[in-house]
Amino acid sequence: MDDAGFIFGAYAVAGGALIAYAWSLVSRIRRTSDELDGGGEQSWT
Amino acid sequence: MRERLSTSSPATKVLGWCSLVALATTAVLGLWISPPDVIQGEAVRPLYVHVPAIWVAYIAFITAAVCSVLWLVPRTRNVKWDRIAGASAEIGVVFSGINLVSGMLWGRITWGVYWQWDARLTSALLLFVLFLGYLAVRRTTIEPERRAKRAAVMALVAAANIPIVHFSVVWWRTLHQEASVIRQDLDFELEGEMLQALGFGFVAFLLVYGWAVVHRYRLAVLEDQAEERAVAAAIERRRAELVGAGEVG
Repeated sequence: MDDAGFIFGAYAVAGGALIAYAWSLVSRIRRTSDELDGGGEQSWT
Repeated sequence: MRERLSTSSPATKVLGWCSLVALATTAVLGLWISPPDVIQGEAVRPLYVHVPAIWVAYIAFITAAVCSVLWLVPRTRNVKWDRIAGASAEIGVVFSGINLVSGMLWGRITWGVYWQWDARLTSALLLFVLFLGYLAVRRTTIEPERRAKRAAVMALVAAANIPIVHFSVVWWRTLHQEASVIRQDLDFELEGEMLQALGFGFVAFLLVYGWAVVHRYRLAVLEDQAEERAVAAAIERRRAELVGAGEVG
């Protein structure tokens, strides 16, 4: 990998980590909120 | 009916969009607008991510330590301080990780190696690992008050490493360069587009930190409610078992 790869890599790591973390936070809030509301339980009927 | 917490509010939506715009602006400034450094050339560009990341990690860890003190002092003890401490430390670990990885990539260009066991790098890694330990303490399944107390003490121990990380380049001979943004006389070493790129990086990360603290706090509230409900359900189940066995009237 040349220098440009390492330079872009640093930005990709930072942006990727922050977006992944933000996404995980929103998902965990939705999941926990659904569990508390009983939305986590599934049924055919 | 339990009050349902949204994942966003008008204020956090604005904060979220501002964060995204600031992150994109930082990338444009850092990768294309700012000039190459006289000495480092193009290798200076990862520093617009690397340096703001550790600054925001410091802020996050210091916030966690201050909130831990507020939780430990009986007069100010409140569950919100424990939640903010946990939220801030978790986000600090993310920024600390970004600092370490971007530093390794910069080191590969500048030094030819990803890692050296030099005082700055080692103490920064230790800070990251100590706060990972703090997060592990927070996940232990013991009584919440004892867990919060242990976590608060752990936060203070971990935060004590911050001055060591920061001054390691002054106290020891290190491969890592000395402070090169703000001089000891508190004047800026950088100027022009370089200072803009670094400043934007800091503001962008600070906005992300603010957005993430609010959301992590909301998640902590929900997790506490889920834990309380699980404990209540377990007690109820146990009571029903005892009643079924004829041990409780």
